[in-house]
Amino acid sequence: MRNLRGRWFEDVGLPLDEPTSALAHRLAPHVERVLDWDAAVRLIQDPRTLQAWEEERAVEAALKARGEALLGHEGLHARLSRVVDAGLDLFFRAAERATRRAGLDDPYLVRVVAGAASQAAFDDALARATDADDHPFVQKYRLFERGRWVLGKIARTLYIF
Amino acid sequence: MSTATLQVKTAQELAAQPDEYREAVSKIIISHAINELYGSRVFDEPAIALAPTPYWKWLTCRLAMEEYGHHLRFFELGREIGIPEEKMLPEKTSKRPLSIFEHPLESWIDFCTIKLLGDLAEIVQIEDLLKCTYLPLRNAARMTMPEERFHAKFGEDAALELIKTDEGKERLQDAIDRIFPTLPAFFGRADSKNNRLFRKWGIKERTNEAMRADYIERCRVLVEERLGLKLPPVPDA
Repeated sequence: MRNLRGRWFEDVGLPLDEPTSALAHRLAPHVERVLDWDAAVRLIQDPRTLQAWEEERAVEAALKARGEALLGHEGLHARLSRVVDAGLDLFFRAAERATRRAGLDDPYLVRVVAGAASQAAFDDALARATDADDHPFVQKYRLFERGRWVLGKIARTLYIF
Repeated sequence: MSTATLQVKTAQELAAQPDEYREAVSKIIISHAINELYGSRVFDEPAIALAPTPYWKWLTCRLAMEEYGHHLRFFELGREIGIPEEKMLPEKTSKRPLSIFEHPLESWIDFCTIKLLGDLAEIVQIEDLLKCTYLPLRNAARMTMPEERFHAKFGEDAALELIKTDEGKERLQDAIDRIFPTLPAFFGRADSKNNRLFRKWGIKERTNEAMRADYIERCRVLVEERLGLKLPPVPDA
């Protein structure tokens, strides 16, 4: 299992450095940086992000089926549970720190941010459980590790905070 | 020893307590471990797909994880005192789930209603453990409470948003009419042997009936006074 070490949300809003930008461009031809928390929240409330969301869930379901075929239901879920357990507190604290740094005191937003990190960690673990080490879920998770929040995709543009 | 002064501080101290006390502690831990996991699987996880935007989907992911985290907290507590794992996992126990967990989640509004009223039921249950004589269980209750309160507040905020329109009001009332009647049973039978045991040993303070009455009154205040809707009649036990 991958250690959950990273710069969780520490670089949100900052310009993208070269390796981060390169990583983001592996997920979509166009990458747009979101500049502040208000814009980030507006984007994830935009129904146009739903199509990419649903596409990812379909990929997730296919990976789950493959993972269960490879490791068995219990084997896969034990592996995924370890990631979920490890992130429970970690992502919440990181989200709390990041929002407080921006002067925000919003228990909803903290949970939204923590939920996004948990989901990315879960999907990364799922992809790696099926030996798909170069899977887009793995790339996406690396962006979270680098302190970013991958907000979503609209058409061919990836929005990253 | 009088339960007024009884305080069991650790799993090691628990091992030296009478069988009846250990059994009572085990029963309540098993019940919370199972119900928290059921709740997370039956309501929170499926609600992610029903949530309207990624904002609400990620929020729901986190709520599911918090409910799962509560399960984990009680599960670890159970493991510490030697409860076999299979007794604390819904898929491995033959214990029938509570009726609320058989309620199919049909919509995002259903989920908000479950948070509004279902998590309030959970709060009432947890409140009774805050003075529990088994201190690790009291601590688990104390740690669980802020998150349960947030979940119920999420339900209340969502409901307050919904009642801003006539259509929203109507849909919320419909969800309350379907969901509320399944909830009072969550508090168990009036003549429950387990509850007698819990009170005897200072694990719980109130009878099932007293907790149920408190819960129903709090639902009435919430639904009728705060939201201006109607709480359906309480079904006969």
